[in-house]
Amino acid sequence: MRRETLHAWLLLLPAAVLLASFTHIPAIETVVNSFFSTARGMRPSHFVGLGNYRNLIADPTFWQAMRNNLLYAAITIPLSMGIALAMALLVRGRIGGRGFLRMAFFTPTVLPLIAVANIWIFFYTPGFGLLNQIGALFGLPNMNFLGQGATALYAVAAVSVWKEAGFFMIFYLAALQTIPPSLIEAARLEGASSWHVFRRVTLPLIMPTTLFISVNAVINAFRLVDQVFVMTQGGPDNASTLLFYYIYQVGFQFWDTAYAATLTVVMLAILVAIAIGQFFLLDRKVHYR
Amino acid sequence: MKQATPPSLSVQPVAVAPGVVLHDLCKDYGTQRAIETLGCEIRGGEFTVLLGPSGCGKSTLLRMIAGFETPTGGRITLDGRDITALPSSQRNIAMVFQNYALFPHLDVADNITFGLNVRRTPKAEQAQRLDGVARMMGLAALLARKPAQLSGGQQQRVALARAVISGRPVLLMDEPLSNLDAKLRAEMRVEIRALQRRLGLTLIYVTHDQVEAMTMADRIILLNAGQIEQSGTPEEIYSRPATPFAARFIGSPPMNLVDAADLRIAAPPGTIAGLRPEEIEIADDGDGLPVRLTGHEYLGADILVSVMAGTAATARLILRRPARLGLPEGPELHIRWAPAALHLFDPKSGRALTAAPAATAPGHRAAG
Ligand SMILES: Nc1ncnc2c1ncn2[C@@H]1O[C@H](COP(=O)(O)OP(=O)(O)OP(=O)(O)O)[C@@H](O)[C@H]1O
Ligand SMILES: [Mg+2]
Repeated sequence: MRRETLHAWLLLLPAAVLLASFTHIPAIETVVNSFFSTARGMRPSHFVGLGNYRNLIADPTFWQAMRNNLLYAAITIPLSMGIALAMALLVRGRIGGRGFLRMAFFTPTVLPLIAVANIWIFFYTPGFGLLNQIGALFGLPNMNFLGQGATALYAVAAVSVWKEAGFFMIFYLAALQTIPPSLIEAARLEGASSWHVFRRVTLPLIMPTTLFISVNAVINAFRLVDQVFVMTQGGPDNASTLLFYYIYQVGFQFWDTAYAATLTVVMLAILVAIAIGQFFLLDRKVHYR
Repeated sequence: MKQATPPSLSVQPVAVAPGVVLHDLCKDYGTQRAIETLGCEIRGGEFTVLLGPSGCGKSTLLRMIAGFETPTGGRITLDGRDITALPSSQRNIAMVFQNYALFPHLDVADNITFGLNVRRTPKAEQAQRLDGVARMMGLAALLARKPAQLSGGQQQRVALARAVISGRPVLLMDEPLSNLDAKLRAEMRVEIRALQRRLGLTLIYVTHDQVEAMTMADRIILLNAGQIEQSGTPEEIYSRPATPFAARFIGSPPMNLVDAADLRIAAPPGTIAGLRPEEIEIADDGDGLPVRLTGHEYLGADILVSVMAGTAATARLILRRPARLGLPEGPELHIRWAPAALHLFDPKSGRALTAAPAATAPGHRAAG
């Protein structure tokens, strides 16, 4: 028995070491750092208590990033999930070219994000970009989607939806395939319309997947940085700055690591709160078994 | 569990249940033919069993009647009305699925009233019918449970209740008892049969279990490789099998089928002779067909005796006799059978030769 315990620990050790050194210890250090000042030149780091948090509350850029992020989440999460489900329903049936459609829907997910972002930069380019050229056919004025404060965030969000929907579709497709066809047939026999079957049978049965996807979507919404980095760099005038991009800026452009740690702690707290909320809120609807 | 109580008033017996007629129906899956062109009549108010081995096309046939599969050719009429092109919801047909197809996220009550809900039946009427069906099926105490919290037999009963509450006169069942243990299966057989009688339903029941078919059916349609091998009452099929397949499929142990020559029966070469195990008796007086005892199997009430007959002792016969008579003293025995018990099958067509010829062969002696 003792021997087995020893073996178990030994087998766990490599994973545990990796997990601890790259996840747990840095997480704890982040929390600790958020209570200290950033070391600058001759001045070493010293304890400042909640000082960083006071600065954060007074920081307009933080609030701007926060607002942007909430708006971004409110756009991308429902849209990408809705489109994912619609696409999954479409390619589930026996339609011609199903394999091709599945591949087409999934392609954005396998493309490297940098490539995706650059493709879309071309779409958005003022003057000769794809969208403006199409717009010109209909006599629409030239638009600088990424360069205008009013549209930059939406332009970034559109790319995210395009990219995420294909990924989420895979999960929905898998979930749909676990529904026994006889359930649908039984509902049909009773005279249920397609909408009724979807609303009363399919949707409840894929609820666990919906919960899983929604948690992932929320995390993704707050974790986005590379796309902003490539497409707008948060501009113009922070109009497309998201929380994580702001953390990156503070940490690695301004080198205010303590403040970056503070921002990170706040973001983590938000994510944890949302995840717990989702589980409790959706719990009743999800666990039908 | 026992449902001997009189019918509840809220589930009315069907006045005159309609019959189903299949006209030259066939079904291909790609290049593979699942149902050969076949026609038959399923009479209204009767319990009809589609019986056959695995893969013979029973489910395919049933699913075409339900409207889940489109026939490649032919027509289906219900009560004289062509329903071949109708969507399943408009066929006035209810169905119990093999895996029950209960909605796992709905409780028992919602499962049963699903169809009434879809069809916007008033709530008061729903509640009343639910109450009647639940009491009839012994589900009253389980209405708030989810399907996962029910035993297999209870789930089965919920599926049955969901089919019955619709009041539709034609009920289809695809191997509804195959997931139950032997004891429960025997109980449900009785229950389903009683339900069908009480409500006067036209019940089309798919099974590969000949015991289910024999005990429940008014009429059996025996299928083999997509074709109707024989149809008739259980007695007809048992006592006058039309083909060797029918002879072997029904009965346990199955009918002995041997070359007629091995039983010293004068018949064209290749003719197959069939004898039910219980129709063969041992001739203690040494008169009859000589055979050699090769083994036995004890079944409690009965004993199965294996013997070899024929010139080269290659024709194996099994005969059944009451265990109290004991094992005959072997190894050399004589057997005999009543002339009417002998079935002969034509070597070319494989069909039964009508009325066993009153040939004079050593085994033939009027019984007793
Ligand atoms: N969707 C399908 N595609 C292709 N072939 C099929 C399909 N469904 C059934 N078949 C074939 O049709 C034949 C009849 O199948 P069916 O399911 O009706 O058999 P069954 O009598 O119900 O058998 P079982 O007792 O095993 O359920 C089989 O040979 C089967 O392989
Ligand atoms: Mg089947």
